Amino acid sequence: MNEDYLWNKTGADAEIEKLENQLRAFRYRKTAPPALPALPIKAPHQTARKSNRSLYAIAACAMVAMILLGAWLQFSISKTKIQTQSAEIVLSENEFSNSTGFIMPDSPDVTIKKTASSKQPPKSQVLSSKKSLAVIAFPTKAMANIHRADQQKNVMLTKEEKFAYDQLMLALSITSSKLKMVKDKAAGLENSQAFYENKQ
Amino acid sequence: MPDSEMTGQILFFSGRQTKTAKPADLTERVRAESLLVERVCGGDREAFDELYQMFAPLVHGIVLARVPRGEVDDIVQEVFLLAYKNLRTLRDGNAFGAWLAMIARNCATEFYRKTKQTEELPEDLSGNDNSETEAREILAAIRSLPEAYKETLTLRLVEGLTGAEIAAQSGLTPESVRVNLHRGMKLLRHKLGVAEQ
Repeated sequence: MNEDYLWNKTGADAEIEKLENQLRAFRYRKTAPPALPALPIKAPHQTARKSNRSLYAIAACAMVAMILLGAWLQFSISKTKIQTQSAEIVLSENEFSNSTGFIMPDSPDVTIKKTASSKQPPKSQVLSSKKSLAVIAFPTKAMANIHRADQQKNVMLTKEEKFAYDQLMLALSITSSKLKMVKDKAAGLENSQAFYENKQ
Repeated sequence: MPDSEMTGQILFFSGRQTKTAKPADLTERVRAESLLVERVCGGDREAFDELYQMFAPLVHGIVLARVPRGEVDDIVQEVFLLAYKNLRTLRDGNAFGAWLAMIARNCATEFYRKTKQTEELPEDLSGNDNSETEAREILAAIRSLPEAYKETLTLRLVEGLTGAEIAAQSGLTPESVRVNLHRGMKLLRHKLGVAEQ
C-alpha cells in the first residue's frame, strides 16, 4: 500500500485506485443548494447569549422591585400593628394607675404621653420603641408572646391593605411564572449551544 | 485581497480539482471560509451557495458513511438548512467546517432515531451489473468499520478528497486523518479479503 498515494494521491497505488474507481458511483454530484428561508440573520457575534443576559437582567430587576415592594408593604402593615398595640398598652397602663395609684417607672427610651381619661389616645400621641414597651407591659417573654399571638389573630386588614396584599400576591405569582419561562428558555438555548460547542 | 478573488481561490482549492493542497493554501482557505461565513451573516445568499459548493462533498461523505444511500441527498440539504438557520450561533468563523461536520453527524444519528428499524434488501435483488454490486459491497464494508475510520475512508475513497483537505475541512488534525486512513485501509483490506503484501 502506497502511503503517499493514500494521503495526497502522489505516486500510484493500483489497489486504492481500483477502489476509488469502483466507489466513484457514490460520489457527490453537484446539486443546487437548498432553498433558503427568509431569515434575518444577525452578525455572528451578536449571539443568543447576549439576549439571555438581558433577559436575566430584566428578570433580576423585576425580582428586586417585587422584593422591595413586599418589604415596604410588610413594614407598613407591621407599623400599623405596633401603633395599635401601643395605644392599647397605654390605655391599660392608665387604667392600672387610676385603680391602684401605682405610677409606672419612667424609662429614658420610652415616651408615653399619659392621658387623663380612659379614652383611647390619638395614634400620633403614642410613639414608642416596641422592645421597651414589651418590657414594661409584659414582664416575661412568654406573656409577650401570648399577647402578640392574640394580636395577630385579631389583625384585621383595612380595605386598602387587603387590596394591596392581593395585588402583591398576584404580581409575585406572575413574576415567578415569567421567571420560570425565562429560565426554561435560557436552559434550552444553553443546551443547544453547549451541544454544538462540545462537538466542535 | 478582495472577497470575490478570495472566494474564487477557495473554489479552486476545494473538492477534487486539487491534487495536493499545500499548508499555505489551506490557511488561505480557512481565512476565506471565515469571510464567506461573515458574508452569509450579512445576508449574502450567494456566499452561502459558495459555502455549499465548498462543503457539500464533505457533508455528503460524512452522511454517506452512516445512512442508506437513498436518504443521503435529503439529509445533506437538511444539514445545510440547519447550518444556515443556526449560523449566528457559530462563534468562530474559521471552524465552520468542523461545525458543519458535527451537524452532519448529528443529522445522521437523528435519522436513525426518527425512522423505524428497517432492513435493506439484499444487493443481488436489484438486478444491476456486477461492478455496482461490488461497489455496494465495498461501501458496506467501509460502513462496517469503526466511526473514525469509516468517515475518513469515505471522504478519501468516495469523495476523492486528499488527507490534507479532509483535515482542513473536518477540523481534525492531519495526524489523526493520516492514522485513520492508514488503520482504516488496513481494516478494509482485511474485510475485503485482500492479502497483505
